[in-house]
Amino acid sequence: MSDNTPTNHHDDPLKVLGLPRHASEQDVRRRYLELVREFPPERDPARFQQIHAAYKAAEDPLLLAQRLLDTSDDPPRSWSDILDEQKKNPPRLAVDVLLSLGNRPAEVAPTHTRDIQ
Amino acid sequence: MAAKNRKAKNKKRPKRRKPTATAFRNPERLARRVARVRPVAWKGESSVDAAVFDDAVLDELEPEIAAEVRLVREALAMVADPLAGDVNQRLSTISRRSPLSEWRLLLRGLVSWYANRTDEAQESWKRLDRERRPSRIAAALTASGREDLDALISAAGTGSLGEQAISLGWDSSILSAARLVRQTRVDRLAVQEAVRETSLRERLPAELAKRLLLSPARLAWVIEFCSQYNQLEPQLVDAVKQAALDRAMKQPFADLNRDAMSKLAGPLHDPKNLLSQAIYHGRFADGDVQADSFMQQYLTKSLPNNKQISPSLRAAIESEIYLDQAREEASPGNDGSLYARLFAEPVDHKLVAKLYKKALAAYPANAEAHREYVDWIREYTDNDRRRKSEREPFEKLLLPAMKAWAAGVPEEIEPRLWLVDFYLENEELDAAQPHVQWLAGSRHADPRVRATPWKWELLEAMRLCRRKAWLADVPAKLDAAEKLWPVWLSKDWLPYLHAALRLRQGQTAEYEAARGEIRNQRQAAGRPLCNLTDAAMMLAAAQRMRVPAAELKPLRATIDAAVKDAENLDDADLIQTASFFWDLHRANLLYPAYRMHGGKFAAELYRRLNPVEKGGIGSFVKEPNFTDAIYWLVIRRCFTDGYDIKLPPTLSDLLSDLARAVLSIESLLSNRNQGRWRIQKHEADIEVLRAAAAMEKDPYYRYWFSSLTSRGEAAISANTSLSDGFGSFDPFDSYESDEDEFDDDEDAEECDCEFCRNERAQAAASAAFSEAAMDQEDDEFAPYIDPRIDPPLPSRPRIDLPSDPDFKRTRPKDPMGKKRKKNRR
Repeated sequence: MSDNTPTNHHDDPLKVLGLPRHASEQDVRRRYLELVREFPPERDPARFQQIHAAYKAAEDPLLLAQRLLDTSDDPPRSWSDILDEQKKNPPRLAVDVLLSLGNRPAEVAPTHTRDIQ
Repeated sequence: MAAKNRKAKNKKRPKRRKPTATAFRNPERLARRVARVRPVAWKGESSVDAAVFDDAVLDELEPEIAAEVRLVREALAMVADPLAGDVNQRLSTISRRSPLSEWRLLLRGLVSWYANRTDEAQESWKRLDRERRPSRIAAALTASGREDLDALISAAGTGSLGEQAISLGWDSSILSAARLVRQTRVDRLAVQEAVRETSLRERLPAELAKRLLLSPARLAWVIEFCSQYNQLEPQLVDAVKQAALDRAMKQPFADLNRDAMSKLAGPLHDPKNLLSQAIYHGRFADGDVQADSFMQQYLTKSLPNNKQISPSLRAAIESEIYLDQAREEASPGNDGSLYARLFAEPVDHKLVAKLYKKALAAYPANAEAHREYVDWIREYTDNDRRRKSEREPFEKLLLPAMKAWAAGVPEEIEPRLWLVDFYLENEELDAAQPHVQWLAGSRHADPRVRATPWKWELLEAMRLCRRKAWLADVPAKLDAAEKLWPVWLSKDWLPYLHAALRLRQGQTAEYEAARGEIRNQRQAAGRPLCNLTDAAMMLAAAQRMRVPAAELKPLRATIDAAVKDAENLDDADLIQTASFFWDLHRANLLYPAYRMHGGKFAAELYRRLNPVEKGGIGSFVKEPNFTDAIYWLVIRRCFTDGYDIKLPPTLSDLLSDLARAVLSIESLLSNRNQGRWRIQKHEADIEVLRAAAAMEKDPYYRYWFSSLTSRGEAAISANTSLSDGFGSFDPFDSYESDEDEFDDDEDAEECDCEFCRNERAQAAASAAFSEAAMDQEDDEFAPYIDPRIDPPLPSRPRIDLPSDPDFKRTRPKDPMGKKRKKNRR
């Protein structure tokens, strides 16, 4: 059979990526980048292939639209689940905050600069 | 005055509070500090480092260095955003000898550090120059992970920084920065507060607690939490907000839903929560008018102007919304209840077609919308029970629908196969040619696609029969078709086509001889032809080969007589004819008169199968023709009532597992409506089909079984992972909205402000509160009861939740469904 044989629809791309049903475009991309960093192709080619295929499928605007419009009758996720998930993802530092970490103590006067060759 | 000044001078200034490990326990202070901090160049800091955050310094740099600094700036922005791309790649042009290489190392390590690969990060950072800013940043990040950070900070405060810290080049400033990192990334006051707040059990009456997923008090907390931590923890805030909105959507309290929707920004695709409110109100029995009002606002204002999502997603959302509306309008009363089905309004066909067209115009590549639209049209065009005048409006829709499908989804074969047939029938060879070429070159697994060259030759032969002048070319075309004849299709019909050509040529004697020859050959082969089958094959061939009506008349008469006397038809005759019709269906070569009698023979066959008489039709069960006949009945939808399978019990016992599986899955999939829900009961049949597809040698059946497996799985997957579009089978259907906007007695309407609602809730709680009920309550959100919380006033200071005074007044009084339809028009 060629590639266009009907395929198995069980592999939900959003599930493969570990994303909730209502994931946005940004969520899909963010999660994909996270997973690629975790499973780079040189380290785990099979897993990378699976992630990449799921990402390509999840990028489909129609799939995302269907999920966004879906209203599930499932009970809502518990607060504890949501917060546990958030605990695993500390916020990144804003650029100004990150750069300010290198400030010297206040008694050292600012402004003068020197050149580095 | 001088004395006063002296006194003031001598007055001891209050000691500045030393930094302690407990500083910024107050989230507001921490947020203020985070908002205030800025990188400041120190005396003697390199201009290259300062240029990373100071535009004035950047402007003074040489262009080459300035370009690299800009790269570093871009990379810093990227690393702060997990959505951005590969930071290391962005900096790959910065050489090791560049003064910016320090930043490159810092950023490389930072990527690893954010991914919790601290060893990798340290490897990148160990070579940094301690006198430069990247090294100090790396030091602060490293120190933030130290368990003894608090002790180090305390020691620094007393001026006794440990030897190790000194050896690492850390100073009080680095330690202070490390503490800031720890507080924002490790301690995470926001998470602590959220955990604390959400673990508190709200004292509510047991009856209310089951349905109240987001109380006014909890909503007030969420609103305050979001405003407080939005800068510090944007992702956490977003998650909490979405969880609150989700809960507001799932509880049948419209006023609370409205508060949540108006106070909390929605997701990117629906920032004003208009779509959410449309879906929410659509779930109430009396919510159609409001639902449509919100949906119109969303479709006409919010969605087209939403630049937060990509244009393709905007188009896809619009398309899916219209598709869902088309489904709803095409199947009114499709909520599974008999009452709804019986009293459903008649289908507004123009509206349905318009909605489908809107869905396709919004997103032409929406294959599902194309397929459903064509299926819907075909329900009418293929329905033999409808008069021609009833079918005609739908037949007019079919060609544009197929053209749009082929153009919107070029890889789909269904519209191309149909268009090839249509164009050849109508002598539009130029229009057919590109589709034929595409199909022939596609190497598609569908055997019908591979048979395109055969069909081209056959249809050409039939087309050439239109004019006598062209008849001379027909035998060559028939010969060519014979050579390409698909292996999966019986060749029994081919001699009839030759005979029909004789008749078309007016060679009556040759025609009669050809027919006699056919009978003799079948007799000799031990496969005698039954009368009805012979007549049907001949009529089909003659009509296809454009035999004039006068010569057709006697051929039709035989069939008409058989229809009239259907009850007395021989079982074998009926089954053999059904097998022939199955072949015509598979090749999509049905003839015009089939519409007149196909259904009648199918009805007669189905009657004889219910029940199957063992001595009668039951004796044919093992014959291949019998299975063909069953498949023919299946695709004629004889085994479904549009809702579920209607398989005669005696037949069920006699059929093979495979035939029964085909019958079940094809019948259920052919029901656009409720039948698809029942497919979940037939997972075992899908496995039978999967196994058969793997074993089957006939290419047609192999593809068909495989396709049924795939479609069946997709239907199961859709039914398990998704609900039915906008919430059919919804528990809300039993509720009326709790906003009595259509109540004539305005004075009796209760005040809707939060204070009054809380008072009402408190009164209800006092009346119904029961400790016993609380103990029995299965509350997943409440690991313990906080005695500090009184029921059910907000645990936080009350937040003003103004309701729009015009909200109720602007809505129409009449919630009848007619208005909903009017809006859609």
